[in-house]
Amino acid sequence: MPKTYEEINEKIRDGSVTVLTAEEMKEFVAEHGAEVAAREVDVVTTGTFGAMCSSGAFFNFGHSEPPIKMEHVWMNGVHCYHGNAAVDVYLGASRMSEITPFKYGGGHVIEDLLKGKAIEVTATAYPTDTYPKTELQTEITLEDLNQAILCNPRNGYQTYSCATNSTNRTIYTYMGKLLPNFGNATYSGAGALAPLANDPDYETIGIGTRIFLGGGVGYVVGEGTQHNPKKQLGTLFLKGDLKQMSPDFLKGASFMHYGTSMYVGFGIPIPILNEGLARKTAVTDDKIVTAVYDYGVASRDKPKLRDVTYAELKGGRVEIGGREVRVSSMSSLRKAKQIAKILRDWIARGEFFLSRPAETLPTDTVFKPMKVTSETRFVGGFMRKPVVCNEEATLCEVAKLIVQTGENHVIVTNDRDELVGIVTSFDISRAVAEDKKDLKSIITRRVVTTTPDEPLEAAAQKMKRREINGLPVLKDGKKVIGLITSSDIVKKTLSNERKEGRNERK
Amino acid sequence: MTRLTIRFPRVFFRESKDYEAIFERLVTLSGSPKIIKFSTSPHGIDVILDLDSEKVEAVRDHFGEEGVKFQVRGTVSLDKELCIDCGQCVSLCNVNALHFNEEYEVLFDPERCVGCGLCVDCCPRFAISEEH
Repeated sequence: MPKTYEEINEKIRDGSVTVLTAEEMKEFVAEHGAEVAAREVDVVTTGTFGAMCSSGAFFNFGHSEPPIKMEHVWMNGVHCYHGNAAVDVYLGASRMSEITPFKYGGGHVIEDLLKGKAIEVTATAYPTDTYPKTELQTEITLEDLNQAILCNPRNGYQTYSCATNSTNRTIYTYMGKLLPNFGNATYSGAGALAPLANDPDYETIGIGTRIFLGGGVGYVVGEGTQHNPKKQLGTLFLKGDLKQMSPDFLKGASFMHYGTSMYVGFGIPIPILNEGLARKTAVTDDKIVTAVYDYGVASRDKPKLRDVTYAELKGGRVEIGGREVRVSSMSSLRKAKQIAKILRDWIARGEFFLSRPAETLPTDTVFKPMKVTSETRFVGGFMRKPVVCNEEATLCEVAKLIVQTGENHVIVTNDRDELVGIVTSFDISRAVAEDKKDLKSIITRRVVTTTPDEPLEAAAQKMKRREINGLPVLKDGKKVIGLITSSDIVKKTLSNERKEGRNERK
Repeated sequence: MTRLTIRFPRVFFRESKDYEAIFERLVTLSGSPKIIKFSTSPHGIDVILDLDSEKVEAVRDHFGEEGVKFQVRGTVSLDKELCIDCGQCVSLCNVNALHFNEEYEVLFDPERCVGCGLCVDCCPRFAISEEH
């Protein structure tokens, strides 16, 4: 017998509601089955607590005397978006402070407001007849603001990728610090505790769904940006009154060499309207699949290394390329559990009622890549045949090779064409200067490499950062298939420009 | 007690008995150090050890002229007031000094820490620090 929102809310009112956290529901269904669960359980609460870069808040400051039509506004040195009316601004969590970038940003300002701290507001403006003031400096607290509306255009990914790094250097990403050569892996999302994972067909979640947000009450505005339901990658657009929220569940974050963000905690109550929902809210981590991607490739289409379940991820070890790799979350499971419990208790105590969405989330939208009108260039189009030798060659043979071919980079390979190292004309000159005779002693064995499908800009960045002029191009992580040098890039890009110039003259 | 990282250039070690000799010199100079880690990298041979703070100068003076590099390592600490239990540091810690308990709370066990320092710059809340 299906239940209605009204019936469930009536039970919340009279105190007879049965509400479980998603974790408790899994145990309940495992023991009693979905049919019994559908009859006996009214609400299942979920939770998640992760870095959500698209978060931010709208603020209204009220009018100064004389009034100002704010043009540029900073809160604790963080530039706000000001394309709105005179004293309305939007502060983005990932906008960094101009004074202490990478350490402090919009998310930290929001956290400081919640902690009751005074925030320094500075603004500049051009004068108008009714808004004569051109400069403003003041200190405000959360109480002083007319409105403070947390507003997150993209939250709560149904699942998220697991990140690792195939390259030979440490990289710093929004998925945290990733050690070289698959040294570790990180993932995000609460798995079977996550809101959208418990209602994957969006039967009960949509415009107007009342939720736990940042320690207070919030609402689902609708689908989030990049909502991608066909790939089970739904997202949510959330809002809530910041003044009710708590610094325990909104936390500024700083990702080394990447930028600032904000951790947001939210939870959604799922009404168990029918047996199908009882079954769906019983989903376990071993049934929720995501994939491991190589974040070492700075491309939109990062190579997918394998599928993986949240059960494996939460276990702390995952096999990548035949090796056991340490994996850990970068969203807090502890906080996610706390949120599901708090929401459960609010409902059980009759303090929180469910709302029927005006419209559920769309199930048919697709997430398209960016339309880029100018051509993207990849290493494959710029590489050429490498000059190679093996480790047993003599210094003199390599020197001859350099003279004959005019190539400054000689790649040392083994008999399977796999990379051993690299020798440059400079290395040879230095060997002569230092009276070294042995090739083996001058081979550079830790080589910075690239792949044919790496964007040209990323390869150029590598060369700039390492102050080198050439990169061996590898296939399958080992096999040498080409060489790309900084002069190749210069020559080819300039000759293309010349061609374009000629075409214009025709 | 001071935790010291000593990086010997590769040229120090030509044959296996060189390792023993270096160890003997270290032990003589620093009393009875507790060796935390001994590792070889393309940059050289790293030794991390705990020794009496008064002995640090003697070790530095002895090896300092031979191209040996020193870094005094403090102990890593985790500030639970700042920590949000995200767990990012856990995958970076090879020795489970940073680990989850059953409730997925991040805990730090200084006894297991080898002072590798990999975790220090990963924390989005600056909750991990290394005192020198």
